[in-house]
Formats: sequence, structure tokens, C-alpha cells
Amino acid sequence: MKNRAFEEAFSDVRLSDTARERIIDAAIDKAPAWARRRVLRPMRVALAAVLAVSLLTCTALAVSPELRDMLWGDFSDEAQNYSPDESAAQVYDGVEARISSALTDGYIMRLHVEFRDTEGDRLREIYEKNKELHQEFPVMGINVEGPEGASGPMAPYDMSMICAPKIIAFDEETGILTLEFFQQTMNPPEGMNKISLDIPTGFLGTKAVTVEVPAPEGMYLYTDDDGYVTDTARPVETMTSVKIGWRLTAPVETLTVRHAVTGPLEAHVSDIGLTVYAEMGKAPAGWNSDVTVTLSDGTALTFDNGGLAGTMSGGIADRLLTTIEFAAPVDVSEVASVTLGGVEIAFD
Amino acid sequence: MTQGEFAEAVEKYGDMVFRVAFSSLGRREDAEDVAQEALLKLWRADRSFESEEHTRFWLIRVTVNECRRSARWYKRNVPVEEVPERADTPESRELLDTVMGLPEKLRVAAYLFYYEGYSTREIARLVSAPEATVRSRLSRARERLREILKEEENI
Repeated sequence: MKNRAFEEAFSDVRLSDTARERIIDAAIDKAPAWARRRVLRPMRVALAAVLAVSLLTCTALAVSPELRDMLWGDFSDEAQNYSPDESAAQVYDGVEARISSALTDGYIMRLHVEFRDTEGDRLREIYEKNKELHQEFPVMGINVEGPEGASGPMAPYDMSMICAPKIIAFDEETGILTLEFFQQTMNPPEGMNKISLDIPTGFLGTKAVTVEVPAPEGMYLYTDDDGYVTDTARPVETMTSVKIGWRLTAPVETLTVRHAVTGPLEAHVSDIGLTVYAEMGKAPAGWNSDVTVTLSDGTALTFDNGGLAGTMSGGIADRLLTTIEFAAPVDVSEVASVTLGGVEIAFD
Repeated sequence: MTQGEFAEAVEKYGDMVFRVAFSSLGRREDAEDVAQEALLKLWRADRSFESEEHTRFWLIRVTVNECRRSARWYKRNVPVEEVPERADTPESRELLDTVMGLPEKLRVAAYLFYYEGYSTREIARLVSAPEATVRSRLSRARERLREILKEEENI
């Protein structure tokens, strides 16, 4: 049943005539939709790429020098805290998957993975199709592992917190397709020493692939022929997967997490971002949107000045989680406080 | 679908798609981008639907998916002042501002429940979340909105 107050409140939230005309024109032109977007989206993509990488190895990197410069961005001077090991690359279905960069503080996990078809040119076709449709790929999972190989608890079941791969580059000469993977996690394991990625076999194929995700009520997720992630009562097809990973070579400052608790809020900060837990119903309004990180010299990082790049939120039971990434590396020792919805959490 | 039929569909469903996108993303320009993508999916799909309700359900689901794609790319936060200018009552304005100040998942659930009139079970299907999660989101949204909507019998 509709609510009268809601109807009134949203009654003037309407699609503009200009937008209507643009949509109709776009359909008539039949030009790829991505090519007609305003400049806003490409800028975001570029920003995302800059944010994504803190370390790359020349041997693993096959993308162009220009892209490499963009990917390194403000994180270029960061120490390399992860490096390839024997599991850095795997071949499945004739496609080699290789991690080319890794960035994590245990809570925020971001990987760049290059795919190369050793048996043909299938990736070019996939790229041509998906760049137009801005299509996502089936769900995959990033893990951070401890000394015993145990993974940290995955983020709670929530669509926004499931790993979401995106195409960020395709090298016309080499045929290498580069995807970015991003994911949050709840609690990294003690002594975290490895970051890895589970890739469902055949995930780059054009057929629907079922990905089984731990979820309540016996629900499964799968990607349909249109590329949409949807749910089903039972798996259509059981997936198998291969795992690729990079190993942590030595403890570095990047992994040092500072911690503070103030009532219903708990914050962890690293040089790449901020992770906040909130107690449902008790956290102040704006705890995950009205955010300021204050440095010891008085510098305030907010979403307005570019110091904070963006948020990803989710939650389970009575606990909510938001990760906020920095637009450039921040010296953890210089972080004086974090203010969330007007509540200041001071770090020692 | 002919061009004329598509133009009619844009006219008929454009506002609904835009509102769903706006309730998720909070920014007009982002919502317009998503609305365009969702409606172009309808154009490209070139499929028949069982009913108008089926069409609406399909479009909302596509829009929710498109919002997720957009949101994953470094979702910016939602300054309430970006809510479109309105000429109606202060009470409506206050409600809209409050709704748009909710976390994204809460406001989408609230919008689909209170404006579009979907059940929690239907919303669960629309947003690919367990029904219990939707109920939880609605409960949290209701808690924040109770003061404003206390006169409304459906809250």
C-alpha cells in the first residue's frame, strides 16, 4: 500500500525532459550507450584506477606505459608489500590469469588481474561485448589469508560487498584483458600474509555461470544472459574455481591498523582507507556519509576536497560496515581523529 | 518495439525508473545516467511482458542492478541539498530530505515499500537480498522516519 506522505514527497522527483529526449535519441541512434555518457563516468573510471593500485611489478605488468602511470598514480611511492609467488598465475580453459597488482589493509581489498588467452583471441570478443554493455562478470571472492592458510571472515552477505570485477584495460596488441576486483572484509586474520582470488572456471565465457555464495535461506546468485546478477532457489550449475594469489613479503606500515572505539562506533585506519563499524540504531546520523579525517597538522580530509574518495557500505545483523578510501596515501601516524556524523574519534 | 512504442515507454516509466535510481544514488545526474541505461535495456531487450506490472518489476530490477554498477565505482555521498528544487509543502520537503539522508539501502527499501507499494518479499526479489534483510532495512528506515511520519497510519 502506498504511503501518502511518500507520494507527496517524491511527486516532483521526475526525469527531466532533456533526459527523456537524450534517452530516446540514444535508442534511435543505436550508438553504444557508453560512448554517449557524459564525461563524468570516464573521469570516475580514471579515478578508480588511480585509487586501485599501490604496487605493480614490471615483470607482471603488460598494460601500456600510459595506463601504468595512471594506475600507479599517487600510490606510486608506496612500498611493495605483496609480490608474486608460485600461485600468482594459473591457466584455466586456455586462459592465463595473473595478478598484476594488489592493495589491501586487511579490510579493503583490491586486485588487478590480467587475462591472456593462450589458445585464441576470445578475450577481444568479450571485451568488445562488455565495454558496450558496461557488463559485470560473475561474482568472485578475494581472500586474505593468515599463517595457517585460514581466510579472514568474509564480508556479510550483501550485494554491495561481494567482489565486483570490472574491465579497466584491454591491450590491442597483446590481447591482454585487465580487470579490477574490489571487496571488503570484516576482520582480517592475525598475521595476514597472503591475498588471493578465487576465479570460477569459465567466468569469462558468454554463457551464464552460477556462483554459489554463502547465503541464508538457501539462496544462490547467478549471472543471467544479460549479465545481471540475480537470485535463484537452487544452483543452476555448480562452479569450480582456480585460485591465484600474491604473498606478503614482509610486514609493512601499510598493514598497521589503528583502532579506536567510541560508543557505537569503531574505526580502523590505514594508509589507504578507513573502515568503520557501527551499531545498528545507535550510530549517529551521517556516520557513513558525513565523514572527516583530521591530520595532526589540522588538515581535514572530506569528500568535498578529494581527500576521501568514496564509500562502500553494507551490514549484517546489528552491525554495519563502511569502508572509505583515501584519494592518496595517508601517513597513519599523522591521523589525529576521525569524525563520523559529528562524533569525533581521536586516535592516540 | 518500435521507436514510437519506446518513446511511450520512456514517457510512462521514465519517472519511476528515475525515482528508483535517485533514491539509490541521491544525485540527479547519476540517476539520469542510470535511468538512461535501464530504459535502453528495455529498448535492446525488445521482449514482451506478461503485464504492465511485469514490465514495471523488470525495469525496477534492471535499475537496481544498474545502480549497483554505478555505486561500485566509488559511490559519492549524497548531499541533501542536491535534492531537486520543489514547490510543495515544507513537510514533504522535510520527508524527502530525511529519506535521502538515510543510508542508501535503507532509502531504496523505504522508497520501494512506501512509494511503489511493494511487499518485503517483492523488494527482496528486486534488490536480490534476503527478505529478513529487507525487513531489517525497513525497520531501521522506519525508526528514522517515525517522527516525521507519525501522523501517517501506514507507518
